[in-house]
Amino acid sequence: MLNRIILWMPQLLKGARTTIIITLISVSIGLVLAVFLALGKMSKHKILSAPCSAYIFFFRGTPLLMQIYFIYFGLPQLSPALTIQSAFVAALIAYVLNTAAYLAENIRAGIQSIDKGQFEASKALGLTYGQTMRLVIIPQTVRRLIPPVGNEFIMVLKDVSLVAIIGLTDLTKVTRAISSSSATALVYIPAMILYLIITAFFTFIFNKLENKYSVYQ
Amino acid sequence: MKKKLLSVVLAGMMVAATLSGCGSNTKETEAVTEAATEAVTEAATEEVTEAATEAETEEVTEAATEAETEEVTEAAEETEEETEEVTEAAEETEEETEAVTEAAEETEEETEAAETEAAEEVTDYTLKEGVLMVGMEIGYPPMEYFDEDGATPIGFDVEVATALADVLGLELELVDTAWDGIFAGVTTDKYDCIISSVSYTEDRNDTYLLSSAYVANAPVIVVPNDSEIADIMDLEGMSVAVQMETTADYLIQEYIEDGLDTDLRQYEKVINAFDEIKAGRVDAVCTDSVVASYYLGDDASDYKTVWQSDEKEPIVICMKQGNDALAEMINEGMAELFENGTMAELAVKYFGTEDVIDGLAEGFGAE
Amino acid sequence: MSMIRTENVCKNFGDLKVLKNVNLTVEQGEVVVIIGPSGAGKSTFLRSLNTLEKITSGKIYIEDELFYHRENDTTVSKMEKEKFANMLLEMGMVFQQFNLFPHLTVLENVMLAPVNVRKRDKADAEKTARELLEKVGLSDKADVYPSRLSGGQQQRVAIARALAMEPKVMLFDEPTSALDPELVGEVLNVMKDLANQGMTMLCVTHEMGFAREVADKVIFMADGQILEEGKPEEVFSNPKSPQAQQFLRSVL
Repeated sequence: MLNRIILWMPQLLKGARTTIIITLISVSIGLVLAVFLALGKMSKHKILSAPCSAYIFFFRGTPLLMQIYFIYFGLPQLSPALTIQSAFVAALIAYVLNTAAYLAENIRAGIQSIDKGQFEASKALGLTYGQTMRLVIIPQTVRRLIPPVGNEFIMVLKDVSLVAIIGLTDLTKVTRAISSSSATALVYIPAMILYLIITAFFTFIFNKLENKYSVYQ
Repeated sequence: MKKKLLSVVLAGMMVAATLSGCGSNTKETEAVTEAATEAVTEAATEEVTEAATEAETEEVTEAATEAETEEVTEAAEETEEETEEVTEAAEETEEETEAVTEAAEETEEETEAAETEAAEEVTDYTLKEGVLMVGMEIGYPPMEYFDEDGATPIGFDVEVATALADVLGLELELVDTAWDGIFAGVTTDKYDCIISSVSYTEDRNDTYLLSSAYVANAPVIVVPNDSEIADIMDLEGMSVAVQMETTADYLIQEYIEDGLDTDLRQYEKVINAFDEIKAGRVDAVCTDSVVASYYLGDDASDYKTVWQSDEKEPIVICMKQGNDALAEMINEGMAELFENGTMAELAVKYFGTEDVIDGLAEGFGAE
Repeated sequence: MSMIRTENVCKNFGDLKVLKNVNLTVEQGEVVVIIGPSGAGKSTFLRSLNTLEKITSGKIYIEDELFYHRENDTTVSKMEKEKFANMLLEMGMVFQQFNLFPHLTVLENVMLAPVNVRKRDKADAEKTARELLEKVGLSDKADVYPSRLSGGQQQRVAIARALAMEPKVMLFDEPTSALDPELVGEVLNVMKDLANQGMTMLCVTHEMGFAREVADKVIFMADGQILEEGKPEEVFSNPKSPQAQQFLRSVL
C-alpha cells in the first residue's frame, strides 16, 4: 500500500502545487481589492457606495462554481472578444473577484468595530480621511482581520477544487483521476493528509501573525 | 345363585352400556344409556328384593326378570346401535371437515408458492423489486441528455433503456451520475446497470460484466473546417479536448505515452470540450463518433470529422461482475428489441441510418 | 481680540433641541470652565467648536474671523478651505476616553500628527515630543504602548499629543470623568500648569475644585442654554437661576 502511495505522490504534489498557487494569488490580490471595496461601500458618496455594494452582493450571492463556469464558458458565448484564453487566468480572475467580495465585508466590519473615538482624535489632530485610514484605522483592523482572512484562505484552499470544471488540474482532480483509473478510493487518504498538512502550515503562519500583532494589546 | 347371576348380568349390561356410550360424545346416547341403566337397575333391584322375601315367587320372579332382562338387553342393544349410527354420522362429518381443511391448505400453499415464485423472479435480478435502475451520465448528446426544460432526460440511450424496461415488465429509474463515479456505482449497487454510451474495452470487460454491443462506435477527431489537421498524428504540438475518463481520453493518453506531443485538456462534460473548440482555445476534440455526429449536425458548416480510430469501440451495457441473472434477462430483453424493430427505429431516429446497429442483433441471440 | 466667539448657536437632533442660542466669548489666555447637569449640551457645544458636531444654526468666530455660519442645517458660509483647515489645527482636544492610538507607542502617538499634518521633520518632532512628555511627567514611558499605562498616564499622554500640534486653544471634554479618583490629581496638575503658562482653555468638567482654583470664568449650562456666567466665586456662592442653585447644592 505504501508503494502505491509513493507512486501517486508526484502527481498529488503537482496538484497540490497548483492548489496552493491559486489560493495564494487569489487571497493576496483579493485582499487588496477588498480594502477598496470596503472603503467604497462605506463612502458617503452614492457614486462609490452603490457599485461597491452591488459588486459585493453579486459575488457573495452567486455560487463560486457558477462564477468560474460563466467567466470561462459563458463569456465567450456572449461575445468572442470576452474569451479568456488561459483557464488558469480565468480561474484566478474568478477567485480574486469572489474572495474580494467576502473579505470586503470582513474588512468593513473590522473598520466599523474600531472605536469612534479613534476617528475623532484623528480629526481633532488634523489628519485627513486618507491619513486616518492609513495611519490609524487600518493598522488597527489588521490584527482584527487575521482570523477572518486566515479563515477565508483556508476556505479558498478547498474551493480551488472547483477548477476541475474548466480543465485545470488541482489536488482534488488529481485524486479523483487516480481513484478512477486505479479503481481504488485509498488514494483519498494521502490526498486528505496533504490537505491537512497545507492547512496546518498556513494556520501556523496566521497564528504567528496574530501573536505578532497582539504585542500592544 | 340366580341373584348372583342377575347382579353380574346387570353389571355387565351397565358396562356394555357405558362402553357403547364411550364411542360417541352425544349426550343423548349417554342419557339414554343412563336412563336405561337406571331403569334396569331400579327394576331389577325391586324384583330382586321382592323375590328375596318370597321363596315361592322366586321362579316366577326369575322368569319375569329373565324376560325383562332380555327386553332390557334388547333395548340396550338398540340404544347401542343408535349410538353407533350417531357416532358414524359424526365421524363422517369430521372426515368431511378434514377434507375441506386440506383443500384450503393446498390452495394456500399454491398461492404462496406462486407469490414466492413471482417475487423471486423479480428480486432475483434487480436491486429494487419491479424496478430497473439504470446509471447514466445525462449530459452526452445525442445518447443521453436533458431536454430544453433542463429536467427531462432524452436521447438514444434513454429510449433504449425505456424500451428495455418496458419489455422486461419493469419500471425504469434513471440515476444521473457523474461520469467519473459511474462505474463505482454499479459495483456498489447504486443501480443495476449502466446504459450510458459505455464503450467496450478489455479492461472494463475484466472488471465488469458487459453485455453484447447495441450500437457501433469509435473515437473520432473533430476539428474546425479550416483546420489542417487530418490525422491523429497531426495533433503534434496542438491541443485536444476530451471528456475525462472516456475512451477518447485514454486513447489520447496512449498516444502521448507513445510519444505524441500534444496538450491534452480534460473536462467534466463533453459539451465543455466543444465549447473549447468553438472558443478557439483548443485545436481539436476527440470524442465518440455518435457524439460527433450530433454536434456536427448543428454546426455542420463549421466543423468536420477527420479521423476515425480503426479500433471499433462498440457500446455495451455494463453490469456488476457476476450478475449473471440480470445479464440473462437483459440479453433476452435486448434481443426482443432487435427483433421487434425498436432498435432499428431508434437508430434511424438518432443517426439517420441502421448501419450503427448492423450485425449487432446476433450478439443478443436475436435474428 | 477674542479667541472664540459663538453667536446663537443652536443644535437640534431631530425634534430634540440640544443647544438653544448659545452665546459665548472666550478671550485669549482665558480659562473657561463649563459645568452643569448631564444632558445640558456641554459636550455637544464644545465639540461643535472643532466641528466634531455640526451645528444646526449659528455663527462661530475664531480670532474674530467668521469660522463658519450655518442656518437650517446647511452651511451658509465658512472660511476658505485651507484657512478653515488651519483653524481646526489651532484647536487641540482632549477626550474623556483618551482615544490614544493603541497600535503606536506613546512617543509615536505624540509624533504622528506633527509629522503627517504639520509636515515636521521627524527628528524635530521627536525632540518636541520628548519635551512634552517631560512636561507631563512621562519621559520614561516614551516607548511603551498605551495599554500598559494607567488611565491617568494615558490622559497625560493625550494632553501631550494635543499640545504637540501647538494649538492656540485647548478644548477639554470631561478629561477626568473616566479616571479613578486617585488618578485625577495628576491630570488636573498638568492642566493647571498649562493654564499658568497662558494657554486658552475651554473645559467641560465636574471638578469644582479645579474650576475654583484655575478658572477665569465659570459657565453653568442646563437644557442647552447658558444660565450662569461669571467668576468662580460669583457663580458658586451666588447662583441666580434655580437650576444652578439646585445643581450646586447637590455637587458642592
